Amino acid sequence: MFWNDWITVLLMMASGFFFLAGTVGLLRFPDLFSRLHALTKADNLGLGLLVLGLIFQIDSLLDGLKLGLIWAFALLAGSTGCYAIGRFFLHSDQKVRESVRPKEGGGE
Amino acid sequence: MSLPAGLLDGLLALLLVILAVRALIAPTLYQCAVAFISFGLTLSLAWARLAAPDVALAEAAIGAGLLGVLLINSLRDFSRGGDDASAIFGKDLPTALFSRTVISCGTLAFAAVLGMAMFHMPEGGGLTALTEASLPHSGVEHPVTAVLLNYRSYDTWLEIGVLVVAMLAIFCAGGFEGFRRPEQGPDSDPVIESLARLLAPLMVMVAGYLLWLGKAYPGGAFQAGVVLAAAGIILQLAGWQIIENLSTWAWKWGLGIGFFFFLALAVSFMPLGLGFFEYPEAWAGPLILVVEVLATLSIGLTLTCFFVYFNGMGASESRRRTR
Amino acid sequence: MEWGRAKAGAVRGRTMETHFIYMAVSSALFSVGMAGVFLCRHFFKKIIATKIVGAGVFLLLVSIAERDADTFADPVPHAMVITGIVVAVSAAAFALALARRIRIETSRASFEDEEAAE
Repeated sequence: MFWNDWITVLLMMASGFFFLAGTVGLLRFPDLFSRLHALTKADNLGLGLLVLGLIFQIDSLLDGLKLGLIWAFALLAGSTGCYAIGRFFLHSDQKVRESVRPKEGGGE
Repeated sequence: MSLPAGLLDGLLALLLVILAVRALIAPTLYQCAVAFISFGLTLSLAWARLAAPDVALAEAAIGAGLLGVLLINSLRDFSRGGDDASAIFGKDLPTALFSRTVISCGTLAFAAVLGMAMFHMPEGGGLTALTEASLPHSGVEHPVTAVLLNYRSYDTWLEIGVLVVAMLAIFCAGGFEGFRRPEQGPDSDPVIESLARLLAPLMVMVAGYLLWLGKAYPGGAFQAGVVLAAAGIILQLAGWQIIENLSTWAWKWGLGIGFFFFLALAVSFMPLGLGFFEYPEAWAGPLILVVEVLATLSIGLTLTCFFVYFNGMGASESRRRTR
Repeated sequence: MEWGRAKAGAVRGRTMETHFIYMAVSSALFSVGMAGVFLCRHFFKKIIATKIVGAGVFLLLVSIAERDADTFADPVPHAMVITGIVVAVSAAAFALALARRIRIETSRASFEDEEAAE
């Protein structure tokens, strides 16, 4: 293994940690907004580190540019999606609000 | 097979089956739809593992993306009146545990028999060698594109036809009254609108890139068409109403142009002594590109119409009810 | 072409068992989907179930293509599956439109839904 493979492995493991943390947060956090927060952390940092790790494996600048674009688009779409969900939740009625609250005792 | 690869395949396999079951027995319809979308995305990873990147692209875009949008859009009709998925199995089955055990065992046995039959299938060798031998004459370099638009263009032509027919059938099923502009526009949202402004041109560019890529790499008319449709759907969600603003003439011809141009191409070389859907070898490349461009436009427009019509179905119904 | 060949080398190297796993999955998906088609009552779930049956069939086709890979995986099943995905989605969209119309007109959500029909 060359030095760049080691960097990739390290970054991938870090990204895996953030994805795991985001997933745990999504499942365990008490309300919608903190869940969204956990999810965006996974998207932004997890995917960012993944892309950064992959950049050490490519051989042309164009591929790196494409990888960076994928991250940028995921960021854009992810944050807009979160905004849309939050807005829907804020404007929704009581019934919807209660449906996303987990059962007593911390979720399933 | 190396261990990490086997582990990945095994995990994907497990996830696929779990998500498929989950999509059928989840307590609410919304959860079913979300599980089904996840299933489609996982399936596209499986296609990638099976060395089928074209299929992966098509599945992620159409199977998970577009159908997911349509499913979630349909939910508001089904979730009205407090109805959910509580009635999953037939009434006449006895206690839940018993019926579940019977159903699980039966399904497992069926799967086992089916799997045995699959493993005993003869290895025919397939058509890979034949495809590769005729690839230099096909006008393109990517084998899947060659099959889609040259060797088996008949299938592809009829498939575009199926899309148009499905569009007409959906109009009939839903009671089509024409795309019309609603009295008041939907509440436009600055964030979503700026996303649409940013993404839509880029998506059109990506569609063009995928189309051009199809000549030599995975990609092509269907994938490009769906990306185009996704751009249309995002614009629609941002309140642009592109379909409603098109003249009837424009969208009707837009729906049909891929189909009819393909047909015209199929018969136009018959006077020269070539067969139905047979192109002169020297022209095959450019002709395929033209067909692909028109097919992409048609597919993109048809799929956008699917969404716009689905989106309008509930609205026109609520209009009728309030009247 | 380059891409196809490079990929095919990788396919040859790691293949052997990959398609076996996915063949098994395809039989499982087909069975689960069939159970869903017969046992689920709600239109929405019946439509999802037919899509799962279709996914099982497509998975089998592509697994066979991978099994018979020569220099590249057999492109004919791939093309068939791409065509099939589009047709299946069109059919599912039509079914959804029908189901919605039935729901709007009669407020029934399944064929057995007699009490809602009156």
